[in-house]
Order: sequence, then structure tokens, then C-alpha cells
Amino acid sequence: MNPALQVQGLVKAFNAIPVLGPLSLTLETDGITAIIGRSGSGKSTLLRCLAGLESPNRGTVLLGGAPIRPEHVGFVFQEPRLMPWLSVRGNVAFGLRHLDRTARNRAIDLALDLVGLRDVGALLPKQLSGGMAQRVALARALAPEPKILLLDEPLSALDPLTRERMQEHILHVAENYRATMVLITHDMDEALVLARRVVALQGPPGRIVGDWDLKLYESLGQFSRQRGHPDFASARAELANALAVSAAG
Amino acid sequence: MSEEYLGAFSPFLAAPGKAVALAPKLVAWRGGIGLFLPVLCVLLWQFVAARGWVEADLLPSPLQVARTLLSMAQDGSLAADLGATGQRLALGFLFGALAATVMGTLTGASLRARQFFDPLLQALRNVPSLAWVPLFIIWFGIYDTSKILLIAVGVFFPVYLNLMNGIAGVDRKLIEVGRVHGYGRLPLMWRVQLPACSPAYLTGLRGGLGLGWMFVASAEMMGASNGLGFVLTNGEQIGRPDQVVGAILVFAVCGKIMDWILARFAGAVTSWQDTVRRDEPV
Repeated sequence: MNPALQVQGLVKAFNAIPVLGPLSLTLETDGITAIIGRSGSGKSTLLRCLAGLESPNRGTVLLGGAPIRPEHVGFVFQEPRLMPWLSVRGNVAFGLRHLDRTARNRAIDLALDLVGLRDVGALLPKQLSGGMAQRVALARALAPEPKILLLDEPLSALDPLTRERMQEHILHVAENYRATMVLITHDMDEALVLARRVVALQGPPGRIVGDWDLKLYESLGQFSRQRGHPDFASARAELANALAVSAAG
Repeated sequence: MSEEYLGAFSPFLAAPGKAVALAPKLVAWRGGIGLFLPVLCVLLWQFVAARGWVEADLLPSPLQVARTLLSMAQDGSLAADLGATGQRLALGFLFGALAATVMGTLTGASLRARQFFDPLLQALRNVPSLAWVPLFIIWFGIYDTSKILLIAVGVFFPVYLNLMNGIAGVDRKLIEVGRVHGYGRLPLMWRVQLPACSPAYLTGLRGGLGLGWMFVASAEMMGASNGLGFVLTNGEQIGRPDQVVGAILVFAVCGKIMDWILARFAGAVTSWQDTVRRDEPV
């Protein structure tokens, strides 16, 4: 399989204070990679460098061997960040300005279907619940069909019940929409429920201190990785132990 | 909640049909409450005038003012003066708002432009309006050009300040959404910054219109042969306080009506705002 995304020797500093790297990472073409780590470990900075929101001081981000471009990237922020003056459909159309009306409407319908919000297209953001708004943000990121979908702690502001439903939506998207997905999270359980691979960062400056392939558990099927399942519990214990060891080291 | 429980409150609960019928009355009452104080003032004024507590050549009665305004309306002078004032105000507002929109957008969007233009504009903002009058008369004569420019100066600053601060203060998080979707500077301005700052811009336009009314009076008092400002000075010169008070009332009513229209427009355009209570015009 060709590598989809290659991060090579990435270094980022703010006011000469290093916050990330040097960091190298290769992400495969489909499935979710979770990046976990404590606050200040450089997770969000890494994601912002991938999205082009921050310029790295050193290093490159390549997609299929070529420099990454904005149209390759979809980004879901910690908060929905919807344009309050646009309807749900208007928000989903935000990244589709280069399409004609027919293609744009089709892309909006597909993206809203993926997140189960086809019926609320005319509503304004102020009329949505937190979970719905975050699903609209997910649809907005998906609509232009990016090759890379970056999710920066998109569930952290949601209540536990809404969070579980959103996890199902993200898994549904991952199964139906073949893109490289990178999820930043603090939550080890969330990483295990959603990801095929977990990368742990520690910092500052953020460096990779662990990289676990969870395909071992794939035979169970993504949805069967529920909390309470014996394999889930053992995977979590293994991950927690490894994180503790790497943190101590 | 059980029906039995609700039954205890039944005297206070309206039937569904009644609730619908009451709503428009309630809305009308809320809208009309703003008229209460002006009407009370007029009644009080009439009472004071009728009792002769203030001499009629200092404060004419409301009835006398109404008769004067009616007479001006009948001979066509009120419409002519109102038209002249309206035309000056419209042109001054248009030029002032247009210049402010260009400068406010430029200085709001670009830090370098703000550093270059804003100090000068802030200094000019503090020049008293009447200080411009002699200069404008020297430069542009005593006819309409100088008056329209004076009004434009008055309109310019509130619109400029609100727009500049509105654009510069747009939430960085929304701008980042534009950037991750590959928006360049102009699309970002058009699709994110201008819509986001529209409430501030409309507030500036309302403020500008209010100052426009003030400046049109000043402009017409500095040497016009028509307009409401002329009616004011003319009334003073010929000793007709009823004419002066009548012109003041026309200024107040017209200003309020135009502000109401602009406020309704602003309310409709910015109805997306998630505020506790919309700033509805009273």
C-alpha cells in the first residue's frame, strides 16, 4: 500500500520555544489514526501543521510524494465553528465554491446523509444542539471529499451520551468514506473505539513515544470494540501500561 | 405534569384559542409603550401652556405649533424644506457611508493600512463639527456642496469606526475555517469577515444617520435659503418660536422614522445572531 501522508522531520517553535519535533510519521490511506498525549504534547500543533494553519520551521508534509494542498485536507475543530449567518446547507457548501450548483447540491446531500442530517438543511446554527452542530462541521469537512480528514478533539465539548453517538457517526464515516483520518484525543477509550492505530506524543517539544497497531482487534469488527468487551479491556490495559512506561522513560 | 395539577392553575391559564388571540394585542401594546412618554410630555406641555406658566412667546402651546405646521404643510413650504433637507442628508449620508465603508474595510483588514491611516483619521474625528464650516465655505462656497460635505464628515466616523473594529475583531476561529478551505484574502473578506461584522456595520450606519441629522441642521443653519435648518434660524430671526419648535419636532419625527426603518432592516439582515433578545425597534 502506498503511504498517503508522510511527515518528515517536522519541527515547530513559537517565539523560539520548540513545541514540536523533530517528528516523522507515515499514515496509511484509510482508517483512523488516533494521536493521544497530554496537554502541551504538541498534538494540536501537529494537526495545524498538517492543515497548513501553521508553517513548520523545518520539515515537510507530503501527500503521495507531493506537497499537501488545502483542497486535500478536511478539518473538524474542537468547536463546530459554523458560520452563524449561514444555514446548515450553506455551511456544508462553504468549501464547495468551485462546484456548479448541481454538483454542489449533490455534494451537500451526500455529506448530510453521511452524518444523518439531511432534514435540517434549512436550520441556522443557533437552532442546533451541540452534537448536531458538530455533525454539520463534520459534513462541511467531508463535502469537498478531502483525501485527509483531520479531527482535532471534535468530541471533547460534548456530553457523554452525545459523544458516544458522535463516535458512531465518525465510525460510519470512516467505513463509508475512504480517507486518511487523523483524530486528536485525550481519551484512551475513544482512541480504542475509533482508531486502527494509536500514536502517543509526549512533550514539549512533542515527539512520538509510542505507536500501536490495533489491527489485532480488527477481527472483532469496529463496532464490537465496546467498553466492557474483554478484548477492549485488555487492549486498554496494554495501551495504558505502554503509555505509563513511555512517560516514565 | 398531571391535568389535576394543572387544573389548580386553570383560572390563570388561557385556552389555546385565546392565547393566540391575545398575542397580537400584547405585541401591539409592547410596540405602543414607546409612545407613552412623548404623549405624556405633549399633554404636560399643553397643560403648562394653557395655565400660562410660561409666556407664549417663549414656549408656544402644542396646539399653536400644530397650527403652524399645518399652515406650512398647506402652503407647501414644509414639503419644500423637508425635501431640501432630505436631499442634502441623503447625499451626505451616501458619500460619508461610502467613504467610511472603503476606509473601514481597508483599515480593518490590513494592519499596515490601519497603522498608516488610522492615526490621522482619529485626529480628524476629534475636530468639532462646526470647526469645519468656515473651511468648507472657503473651499466649496456657501451652496449645497459644503453642506453635503459637512454631513458626510458627520456620517463618516461612526460608520468607519464600527466597520474597522468589526472587521478587525472577527473571530480568528472563523477565519481559520476559511483558511483550511483554501480561501484567499478577498474570498475570506467577502464570505467570512464582512458577514461576521455586519451587525457592527449596521450599528455604525444607524449612528451615522443620527449624526447626519445633527449635521444637516448645523449645515443649514450656516447659511441656507431653504431646509429645516433654515426654518429654525428664520423662526429665531422673525421671533416665531412656534416655527422653531415645529421644525425641531419635524427633525425628531423624521429622524426617528428613518432610524426605525434602518433598525428594522438591520434586525432582518442580522436575524442569525444568537442573542438573548433581538434588538427590535420600538
